Amino acid sequence: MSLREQLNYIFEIRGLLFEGLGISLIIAFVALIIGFLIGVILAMIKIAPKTNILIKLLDKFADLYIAVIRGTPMLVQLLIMYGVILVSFKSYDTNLVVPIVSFGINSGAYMAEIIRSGISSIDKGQMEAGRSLGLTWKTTMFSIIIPQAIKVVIPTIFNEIIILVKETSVVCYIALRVGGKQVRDLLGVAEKLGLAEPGCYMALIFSVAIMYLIVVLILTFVQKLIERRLSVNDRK
Amino acid sequence: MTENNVVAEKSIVKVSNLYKSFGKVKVLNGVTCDIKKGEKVVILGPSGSGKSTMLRCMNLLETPTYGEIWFQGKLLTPVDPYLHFDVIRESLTYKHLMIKANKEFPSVSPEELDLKVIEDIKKNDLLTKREGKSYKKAIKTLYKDNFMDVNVTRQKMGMVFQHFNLFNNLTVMDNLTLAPIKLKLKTKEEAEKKAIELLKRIGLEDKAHVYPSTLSGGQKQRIAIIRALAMEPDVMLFDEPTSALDPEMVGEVLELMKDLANEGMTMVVVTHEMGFAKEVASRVLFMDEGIIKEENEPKEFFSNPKDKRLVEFLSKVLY
Repeated sequence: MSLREQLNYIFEIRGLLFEGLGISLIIAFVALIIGFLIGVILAMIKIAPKTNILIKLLDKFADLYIAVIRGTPMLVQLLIMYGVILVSFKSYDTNLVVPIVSFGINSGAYMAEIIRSGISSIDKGQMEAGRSLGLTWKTTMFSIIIPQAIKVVIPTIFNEIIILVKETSVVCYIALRVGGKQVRDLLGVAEKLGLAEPGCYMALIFSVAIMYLIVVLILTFVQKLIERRLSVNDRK
Repeated sequence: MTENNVVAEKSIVKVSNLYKSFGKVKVLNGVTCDIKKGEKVVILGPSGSGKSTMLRCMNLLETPTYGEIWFQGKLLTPVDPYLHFDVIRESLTYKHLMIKANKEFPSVSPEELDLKVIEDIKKNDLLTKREGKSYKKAIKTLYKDNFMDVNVTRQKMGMVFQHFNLFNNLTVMDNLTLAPIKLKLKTKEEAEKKAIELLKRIGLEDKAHVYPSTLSGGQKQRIAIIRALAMEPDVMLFDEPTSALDPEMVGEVLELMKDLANEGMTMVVVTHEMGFAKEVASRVLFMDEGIIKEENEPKEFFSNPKDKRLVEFLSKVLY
């Protein structure tokens, strides 16, 4: 097929590609929220003073969680979750929850480490100063330490977000259904169409690449905006 | 004698038999001192002598391994049973040992036996080895009756750090008002009024709305001092307040500290500024190897040092 024909073909099926992108972004977005929540909770457990037995147990659990999740490939986790969730919840009709939960759990482990390292990068003196004024650990943490840690952590968090968005492309390995109807993510759509129209395969893959690139560029732009917003107390 | 002795003899901070180790390193080896209201105590000593650790133990930024800290007659640390003879005397171990000792040495007076038995119990740590419920109960009651929450205590114990530790994410004004507002000691208006007043005092009222990163070291430290003052503390702890400053900025910080001293603030200062110690202190402590080696009023301390290590130390720092 000539280049022109290929471009025409892509233009014709653009709706399908955008649908696929929608599925990919939904998975990434919800997984991101789950991952962030898990990350904050795990980081808090790891950073809190180990005063009682419960927090010590939770701390051990957090260590195990992070070790297992970071120690196994994402795709393997996805396939395991596919089996576990489908069997235990019998949700054959709508299984979008499988990739969302898997990516959420996966991202949580990385987010936890990012947030923990961000918090521990803040000078110990800040906590000491807060405590010396009679503020509690919690108040100092939320009024002083976390606002400073957020600034430190933004670039790495966005790094993780970008990786997550792109990593969702591995869901094309599993069959997704919403309300009994089969759906596909962006790469899945391209693969399917590529089988039917082998002459356009490379054009489809290039289109997928460009779409991901645009999404990532938008994210990078958002990151720059936030960083500029947060840097007021460096200058002025 | 200095005029400071006229001020009431009320104890503000009392440190009893304080031990602190970090892992295997023993930093404090039994420090006892009593800081009275209105006193300006300067702590000198070579680095690694434990002076900063002792100061940080006073408001429990470091948890003592052993020993007690009292603040205005209230206990901050868990009870150390061996410091309380009445707790020891109430224990069964004491009673048994007294009966035994009475039989063995009928000629010795009961007072002497009492001391001997207590010494024996302390030395061999017999309370933890032998005593059961009654001993634990005695300690619990003592702790309960005298205990004070450390977060409440710290509001009345200002601390100034070597590295200022101003809150980097807050403006100077918010630095000064955060704690009084969060702890509901003042309304926002009251806290800001007080902050402006304090800023005027150090001549930095134009800096109220800038962030700490734009200030010089001397300005930061003076603001750190008034941040502690904004809590209206009963005692101020200074942990090497001028050690991280450029030489030309040391003066302005010491000036402010002298002002405070003249107003009658109770102060405990760990420093290397000998001039400050001579001029302002009502009592100077010399610490080395985790204990207080010498303690005297400044004139006598500098002109007639007795401890060998102190003589050596002074000859090095006073050239």
